[in-house]
Amino acid sequence: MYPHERSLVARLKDKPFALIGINSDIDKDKLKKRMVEEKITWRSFWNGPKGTDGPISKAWNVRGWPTVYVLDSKGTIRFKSLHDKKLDEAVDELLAEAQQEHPERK
Amino acid sequence: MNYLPAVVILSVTLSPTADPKPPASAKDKLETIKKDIADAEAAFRAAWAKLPDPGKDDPGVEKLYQVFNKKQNEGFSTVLDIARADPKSDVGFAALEWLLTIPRTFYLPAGKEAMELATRHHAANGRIGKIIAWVGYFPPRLTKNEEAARALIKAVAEQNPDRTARGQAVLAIAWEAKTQFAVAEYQRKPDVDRLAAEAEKRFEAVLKDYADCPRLIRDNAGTLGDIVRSELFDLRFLRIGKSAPNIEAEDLDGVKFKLSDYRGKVVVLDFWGDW
Repeated sequence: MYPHERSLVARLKDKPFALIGINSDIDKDKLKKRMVEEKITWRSFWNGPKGTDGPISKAWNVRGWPTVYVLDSKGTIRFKSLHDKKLDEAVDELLAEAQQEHPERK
Repeated sequence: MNYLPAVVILSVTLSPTADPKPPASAKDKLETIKKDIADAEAAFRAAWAKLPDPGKDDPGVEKLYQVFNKKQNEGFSTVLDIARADPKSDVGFAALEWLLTIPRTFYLPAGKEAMELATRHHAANGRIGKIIAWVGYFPPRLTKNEEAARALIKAVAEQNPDRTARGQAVLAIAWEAKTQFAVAEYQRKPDVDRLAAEAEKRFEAVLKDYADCPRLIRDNAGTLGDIVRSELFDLRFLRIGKSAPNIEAEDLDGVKFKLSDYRGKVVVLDFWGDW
């Protein structure tokens, strides 16, 4: 996952795009060391001390990790459970759509 | 395992000079296999943890799996024999319960036969709820065992006098409906709305009659109502085409932020963990 996420974030750094995590690790200090090692720069909500039983994943009924949702620029859920190339294509499609609607944003 | 010492004392008392030993009872045999497999699993985990690279790519992982799976398969086959010998008895039921709370069997011929025996002999057994909780949560979709699992769940929903056991089955049926919806949604099929409505109806049926029943998949797994309310939220608000519910929480540095802060951007929302 990480290498693909890193390249997605790097490729779209000048676009109206954000990768937002919801992290379910319990030990935040250990995680932060791992994030330095893995060069994870994107922001994450923390799911809290209960880990995978935390409030955000519970509200979103998440049962498997990783679980991915893709939202368009209006905040509408447009894709679920995509990975790798299909995830890239979905994001590109939504970026193109957003640019058509708001050509002033690059 | 509590009664093992008692059994040993008993056999010593009854046949102090027993030689050769009397054949083990089916109950003893079952307990011995359960312990053997639990020990093999512990050994498997310990060996895994000691691998130089315990990640998925270590070729040693596959080898450990092969050894453990072989051992487990032998156990499945012996325990199935115990169930076959006297499927209606308590020990027959215990054998079926052991088999049908290990999801790997759900995909094997032994699991199929165990499901068939459970359907034939225990559909009205009030203690079958735990089996249904497991089979319903890990249904062997798109496999040769799919029909056997479905038949078991249907029989319990229709025949079991125990409300909690029946509730597990009615929930399993609702999950099946939700899976149909999820597949259609993923494939962008035209009947996705109808399938979502059907799944909602099934979950509402659980809520109406079984909301207070415990989920039997493990201890303290909450009520059927808890899980169904999450499923209904999912069906109503987390569908493709719906506006994503806002998230407002702290980031990993303790700074509060909101998902809605990112309105105007395309967002990939990634539920992740470093494990």
